[in-house]
Amino acid sequence: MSNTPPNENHASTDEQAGKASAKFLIAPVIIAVFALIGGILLQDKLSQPLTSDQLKNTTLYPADFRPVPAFELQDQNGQSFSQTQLQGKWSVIFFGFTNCPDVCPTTLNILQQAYERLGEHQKDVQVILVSVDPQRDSQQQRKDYIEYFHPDFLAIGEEDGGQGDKIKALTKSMYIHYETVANKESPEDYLVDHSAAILIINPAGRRHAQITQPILPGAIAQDITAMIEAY
Amino acid sequence: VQKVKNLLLLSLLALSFSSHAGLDIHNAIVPESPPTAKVLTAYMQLHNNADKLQTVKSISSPQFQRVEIHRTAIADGIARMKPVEHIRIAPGESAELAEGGMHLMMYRPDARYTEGDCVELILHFADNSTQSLRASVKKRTGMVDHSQHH
Repeated sequence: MSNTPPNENHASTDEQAGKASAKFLIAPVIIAVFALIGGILLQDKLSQPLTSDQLKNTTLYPADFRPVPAFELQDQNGQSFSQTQLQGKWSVIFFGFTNCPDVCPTTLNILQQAYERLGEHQKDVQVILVSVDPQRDSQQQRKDYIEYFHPDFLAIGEEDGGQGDKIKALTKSMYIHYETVANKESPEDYLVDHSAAILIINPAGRRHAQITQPILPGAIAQDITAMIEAY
Repeated sequence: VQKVKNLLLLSLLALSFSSHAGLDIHNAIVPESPPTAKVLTAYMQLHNNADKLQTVKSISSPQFQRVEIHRTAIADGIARMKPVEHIRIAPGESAELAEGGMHLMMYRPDARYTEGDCVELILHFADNSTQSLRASVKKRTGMVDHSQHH
């Protein structure tokens, strides 16, 4: 472009040829500039952390949200399950009880379908039901219940005979609410109102995100995959 | 022949009027549940085609110890269960029992029910009439697509 001819000499054929070659030069330059801008934007995007806007049905917590405090519960096989078991894997945690016929099985069924869609990332994820009904959800009851949905799923709770204080401490630390509601017709069939939240704990054992309503298998699988790949 | 036809038509009309008004019930299903589940649920759509209000005051089943009608309400992130006293359906109106909404709490099944089984339910109306129906047991996996369209 440095050899752009002076305006008064536009009749010269040489200079017309010069103009044409300048035009040919402009196109690659424009492409190069766009590529450069694109590259900078992409670089910028790649170095940016994942945001909730990029996820379908998940709200991310601020980075370095406090870790899950120490707790000790038991899985459905009678093995101890503490904060240590949250390390090294992505944990999808839901709170419920086995006498719940609507919300809990619906949610676990959706989580089972989401889990099946994780593909290569399935090995990085553990799905955990935390029983908020220690009185009725014995180890055997939790085992028979959870393994119906998926043999990999875990159902943790207090050891048989537990008084509920360990569950209370864990749920309180996670801002999860539950309460027992009396059944006038039949006292043993009391209900448990509980938080419908699905929490995501990252492999460092920190609360990472929360899945929001409406819960759908495809959206959950996509969001979990995105979080794993951006971590 | 015309007489016979008329008589037949009349008797058909009489039949349709004499049976309790009842409800049209569609898609009555009991989701299959884990083997040790002590509480099962049932979902269905109820439509009142009659010209009077119909009130279901309770539901029972010979296969369960007790059946209650509940409604799930998720408010402030908490799932709460509220007992439903009765289901009132105005003429031409419908009511739906569905996932995350109104549903049955069917306590202590007499056996394990799996896909393909049937559960008999009896609706008890406020006028003391009853209507029985059969709900089929289905795996939840097959129900999900349906619920997503709502």
